[in-house]
Amino acid sequence: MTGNAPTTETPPPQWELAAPILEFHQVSFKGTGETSIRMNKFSATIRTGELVEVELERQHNPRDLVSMMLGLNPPDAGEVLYSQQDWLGIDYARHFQMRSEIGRVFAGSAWIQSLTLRDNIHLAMRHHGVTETDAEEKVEHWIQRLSGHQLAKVKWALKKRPSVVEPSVLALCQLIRAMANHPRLLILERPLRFMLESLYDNFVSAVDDLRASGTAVLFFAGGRDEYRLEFRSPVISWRIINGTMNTNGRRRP
Amino acid sequence: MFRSSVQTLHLVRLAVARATGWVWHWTGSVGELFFDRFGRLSAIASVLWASLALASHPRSWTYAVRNVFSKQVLFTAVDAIPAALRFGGAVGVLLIVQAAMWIDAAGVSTDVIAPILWRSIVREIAPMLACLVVIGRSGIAISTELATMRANGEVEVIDSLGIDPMTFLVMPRVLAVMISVFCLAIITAVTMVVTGYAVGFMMDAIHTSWNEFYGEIASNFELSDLTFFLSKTMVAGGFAGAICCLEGINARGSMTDVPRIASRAGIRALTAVFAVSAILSILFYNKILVFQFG
Repeated sequence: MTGNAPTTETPPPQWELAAPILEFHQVSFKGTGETSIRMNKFSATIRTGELVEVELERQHNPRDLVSMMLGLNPPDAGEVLYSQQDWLGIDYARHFQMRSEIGRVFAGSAWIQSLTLRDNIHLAMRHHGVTETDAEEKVEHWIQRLSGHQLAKVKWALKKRPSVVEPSVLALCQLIRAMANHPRLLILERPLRFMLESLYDNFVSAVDDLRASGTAVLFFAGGRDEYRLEFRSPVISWRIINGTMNTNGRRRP
Repeated sequence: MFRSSVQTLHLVRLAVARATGWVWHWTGSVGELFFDRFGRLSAIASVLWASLALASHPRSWTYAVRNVFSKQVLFTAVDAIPAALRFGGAVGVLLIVQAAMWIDAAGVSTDVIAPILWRSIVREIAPMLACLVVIGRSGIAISTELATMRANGEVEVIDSLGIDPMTFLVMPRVLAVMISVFCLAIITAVTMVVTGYAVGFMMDAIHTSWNEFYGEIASNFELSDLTFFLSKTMVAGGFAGAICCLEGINARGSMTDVPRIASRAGIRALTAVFAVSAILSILFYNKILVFQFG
């Protein structure tokens, strides 16, 4: 075949992959406790707009794994990249800037107990230069969006310290804090554990809207009801097999 | 004969081995202690230096950090004023009674005693009392608060939100302690002088008018007093703040460890304040006890 001969082959489809937000390259991680989720030469990528669902068993605690993803604990081996930047070195200002773009709902302790919930929710935004008016507006928007019939309770709770607020309201406030500053990556650790079922639809639509605007979502689902949420397709599933994260997942029926 | 000499040799070898082992053990312990102390000192110095370096950057002073700083100053300095007044008043009375006793015993006048009193108040007693008040009221509270935050996972939460715990938790507290010690030392010094004079005058131990007494003090005030006062309050306060923050933020374990960490922080901060005070005095006077350097 000569170089100028006409070809009958159709050119390969030219689509562009969405930008990678969180990348794992051969990551090994043991964690600190028996309930920690491990990684064994784990490689995967979460891209803008993607939703990755990880199904947790009752005994699993994703906290230290997520902290490793955020560069707070180093992995035993391999590399974790956020927005194509690593967590290595002593450029702490860059690391903190990167973390400020990530929304996180914590499994377990999530609040600074000496501050009110309002101050807790505003804290990161104000620290990273969002004006008080803008922060108020954003928080108000997400309160209206997520709270449903719990609206009055949430507004009351904002003036209180976390220790006197009931868990279902705290769960809502955690979501508000994580979503308020339009994160590029949203990591949810058992976000619905204490949330009322009647608010699940609000949660799903909020997550889908964030995805539509480019947020990548890593969702550690912690209960049967959570596996059945109707997110917009595609939903990528990762599984935990023998306590180790695996990308060969499939949504539970 | 041969057997006994072999036994003796064996005993000698055993003794030498034991002595060598003891020397090694002792040297090892001393070395370990040295490295432990050196490591601790360098950690304190690092925290102090990092706090000052962070404080010098305007971008560190975000709304949240300013908020923490102002609350800490309110708690450590403003709320501690009544305690500083009580301490200053009590020690002022003690000092003036002692001074009056010496005036009578040695037959000297007030103009001899006043400068000595003033110097010892400004250079030694007031900074030390202010440090005691700040460590007792706030230093232990700071280490308890930070250790509790650490045990509760709140430090991890702050880190995850993209907020540097050093900028948000440590720097404003160290700075607030430094400033508080300085301000409280001024209040303590003034209270000591005024109360001392008032009580001494009422007890007829002081025979001069307030104007004369104050004039005597003012005329004896030197620039070196200010340098001494400033450096002693700031350096000792900085060390106290850094130690309390470091002990709290380095806490390991559970909530049950918090009281132990808090008391340890208090003792270490007090030790450091006394040591820093002594070292600064040696450096300023250029002599230790009666032995002059150089």
